[in-house]
Amino acid sequence: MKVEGSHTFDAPRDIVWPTLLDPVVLAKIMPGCEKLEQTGDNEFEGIIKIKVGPVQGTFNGKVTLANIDAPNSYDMQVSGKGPAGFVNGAGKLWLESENGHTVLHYQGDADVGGKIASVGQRLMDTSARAVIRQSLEGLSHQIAARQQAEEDHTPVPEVAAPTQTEFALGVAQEMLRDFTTQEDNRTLLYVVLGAVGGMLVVRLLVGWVTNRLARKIARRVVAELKRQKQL
Amino acid sequence: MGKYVGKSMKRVEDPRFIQGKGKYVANLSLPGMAHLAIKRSPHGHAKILHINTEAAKALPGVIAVYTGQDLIAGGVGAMPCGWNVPDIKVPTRYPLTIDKVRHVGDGVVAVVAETSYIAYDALDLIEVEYEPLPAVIDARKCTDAGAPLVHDDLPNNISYTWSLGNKDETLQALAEADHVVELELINQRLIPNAMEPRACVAQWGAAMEEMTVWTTSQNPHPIRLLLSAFTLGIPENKLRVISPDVGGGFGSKIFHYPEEIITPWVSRAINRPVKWVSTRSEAMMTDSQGRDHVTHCKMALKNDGTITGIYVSTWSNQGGYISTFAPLIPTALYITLLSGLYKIKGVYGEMWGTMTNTVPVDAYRGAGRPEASYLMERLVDLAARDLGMDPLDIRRKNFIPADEFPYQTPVAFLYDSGDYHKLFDKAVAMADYQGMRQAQAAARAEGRVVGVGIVGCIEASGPAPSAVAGSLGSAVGFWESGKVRVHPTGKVSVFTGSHTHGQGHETTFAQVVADELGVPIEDVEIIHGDTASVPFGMGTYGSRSASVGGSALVRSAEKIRAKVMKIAAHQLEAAEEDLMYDREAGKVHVKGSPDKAKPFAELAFAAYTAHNLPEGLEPGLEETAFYDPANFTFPNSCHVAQVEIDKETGEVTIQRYIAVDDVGKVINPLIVEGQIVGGVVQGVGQALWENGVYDESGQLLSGTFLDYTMPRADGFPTLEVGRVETPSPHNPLGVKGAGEMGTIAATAVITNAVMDALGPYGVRHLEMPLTAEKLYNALHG
Repeated sequence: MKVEGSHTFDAPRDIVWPTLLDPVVLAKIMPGCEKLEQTGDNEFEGIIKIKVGPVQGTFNGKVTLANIDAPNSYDMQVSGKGPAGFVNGAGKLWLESENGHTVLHYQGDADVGGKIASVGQRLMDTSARAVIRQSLEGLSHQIAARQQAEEDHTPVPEVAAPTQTEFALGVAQEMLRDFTTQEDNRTLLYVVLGAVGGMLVVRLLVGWVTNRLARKIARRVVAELKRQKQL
Repeated sequence: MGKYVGKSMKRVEDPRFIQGKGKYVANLSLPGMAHLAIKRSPHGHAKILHINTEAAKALPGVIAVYTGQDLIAGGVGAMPCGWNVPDIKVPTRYPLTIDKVRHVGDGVVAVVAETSYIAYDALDLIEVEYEPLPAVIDARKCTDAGAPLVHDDLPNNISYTWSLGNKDETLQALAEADHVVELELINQRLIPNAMEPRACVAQWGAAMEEMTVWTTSQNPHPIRLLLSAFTLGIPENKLRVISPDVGGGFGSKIFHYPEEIITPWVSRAINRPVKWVSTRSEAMMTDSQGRDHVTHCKMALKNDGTITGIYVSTWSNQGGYISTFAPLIPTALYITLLSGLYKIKGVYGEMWGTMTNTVPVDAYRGAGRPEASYLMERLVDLAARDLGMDPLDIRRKNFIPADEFPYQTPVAFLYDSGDYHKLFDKAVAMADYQGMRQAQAAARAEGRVVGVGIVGCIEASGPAPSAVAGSLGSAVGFWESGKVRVHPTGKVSVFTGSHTHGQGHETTFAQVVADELGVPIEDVEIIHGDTASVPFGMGTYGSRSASVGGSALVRSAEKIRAKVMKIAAHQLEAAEEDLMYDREAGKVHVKGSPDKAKPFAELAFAAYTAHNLPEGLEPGLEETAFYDPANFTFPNSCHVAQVEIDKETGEVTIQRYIAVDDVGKVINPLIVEGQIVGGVVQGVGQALWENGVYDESGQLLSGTFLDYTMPRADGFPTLEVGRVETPSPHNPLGVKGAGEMGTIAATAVITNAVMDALGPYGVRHLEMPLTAEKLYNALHG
């Protein structure tokens, strides 16, 4: 599986760079990341819970960074395994400054195996893209929060990692991206979600009305029975 | 003939299947039964560095955890190959691998627990440390110099090579040809998907030191033989193998599988009954798969369309290990068929059986013969196109004439009987072939993409004369046993060594025996699939049940009739030659005086009372016959298909499908039609949808029904099925195989029809499956 892309941060390079080496930050922004610890000079170990289509599982992983060229680029080796399969990958990440913004480019190639490959094949690309996207969006928020805190001279606030639901939404969004060429897929997503939500509301309303009706009838029946008994 | 044979009768087994009353292995529950699960490789190719089972062993409810080494220490032997072609190198395979994993799904550790849930939970607690290795997956590229070796002792990943035919004549034909058609093609990998996944239950009887194994096998006796002599080591007389109702096999349940060895071994080790049931995901990565050939072939022709030679080179992917009968498929069931329906002077085939990091490949419905007919019929179609002939005419020009049977091909087979012109006449008439062509021309004028395909295919079914099989490398004989037991009341129990898992033996064999003995069909019970009651048997595959198994029953019924005649002669005080066995009425009477008669049941009773038997005649009425076929049978078929491709989507619609088959005499036309239809659907599945795909590291990418597309009813029109009948002279029933014919013809005819449709777009050949995406791209350049 190949991953490739870029993301623009609204912050200068020297603010962005340290976050990319900070396990505390990275653990926060990755959906499903349950633990990430620095275990050696450029080595991190962690646990991530991944859900790809019908397959979900906990992966124990190791990330090794190499060729660190601060604040420009590094290479990384990733290996993870768990009951649902394994992932082994190598990638590269580099930053470029652009009018006060920072563009992060990434490129990687991963071997994925086991259940996650055979059962989740069709959803793997979209799930991987969703993980990366949400991580980077999370990182953007984190960096923004840091900048704000710096300006205000207040402590850096906690940024919550995406929830399961948010992650699932992210995957759905990625899938929609595959289906449409529209610039803003969010509209379509909202339409779909709106339709589903609307149906749910209608369903609930109907249920409520029928329930009330049923209760009313039941009360009448009981009253009638009582009346007959008295007679 | 009799009252039943030749009549369409509904299957007697259907009511219990339809009502969910079938007895399948997975339904079996024994007191104290434990459950087995297997930890499998997530890698296509990797070295096992370390296995830690401590956490799994500590999980409450886990009874024991075993590695491959534990099994070997416990006496488990390597899994044998049942078909050893000359100079084959069979790599060592144990039920659980010990050194390397060689395909995704390769078994590494076995867990037995109180429930299957606990067993599966325990699998997640087992840590296996792997060193991933580069993998090979392609049947031909795996032989390249420097390619990773699947087995260190098999240089170039070649297990065996095989060739057959008159090479010199073939090369000469190619050299002297007016025209040569050349084609590179892939016969893609298929994943068999029987409705019932495999399962095994074993019960060790410590008191008697005997083992009972229930397994989803097409052939319980050979499984007992292999378990006893090679893998498990329990003496055959202490080992009972039962294959009860089995929900489909298509070949994939012929073979000896690891779980069939591990389950009884564990049962004995823990002295409790043990059950293993495959999940669907496991089935997709452990059931032996089908096809997977890379082929280069050439056909030599004269300008008038006469085929003078065919030269075929095939690389046959065997997977990570050699499955039980794997070497038979691309050799004696493939190259031997390369003459097709045609009289060709030079026929030569050569093949390489190669190892890759994929699930082992073995027989799958048709087994070798669909591969042969596919390439043959593709070549003939391309030749017709090149020479400007109609595909029908070029075939007719090359048929073996009806008066030349038995016909000796240059590739070993002696075809028994056939009349290919008659066969084609019928199909062409049913299809209105000329009308189809006219309609096609009209449709093309409207800009529609319509194609017509026609093929003629040969099959060799009913393996095989045992001596021939032995000379070709078989480790077993291919005869069949049949035992007929007439009870004192005249009711009949029939024991057959072939096995039914969808073929309807309980109906067709009852039809045969009822007619042979002249008893009502309700009085005949067919018993199969249990080594304790059936003398011995080779099981069911290769469309052999009727021609070999049925013939064995005819022979034992003949013996019953002979004995009954002796008793009747004695009791009627007449000479045997003056008596008549009236099968219609079910009695024996004096010729010319039907009143002087003894009914069958009375004679059976007399055989058991033994009060008044001829001098020297043994009491009882039970006979067994072992029937060794004199030859294969050679069913043949002409299938015609009309397809239309949607220009906008690339989707193929099958508009008409006509199947005319010569399967010799037919015992039950309804069942034969069902077999043909089922086979056709499976063959179309290969042509249009099914594809077993691995990535470069050996990951199975088509491991679910989401990615592995099975044929569905909505993909088909009503199939038009017809028959011609030239009885096989080689067996007493005159039958030929019917179970695989559909699969053998359908793949070729659909591909030919689609290529015919794409002809005007300059497309010569596309590899199967002909998916909408492929066809869309072909249409839109």
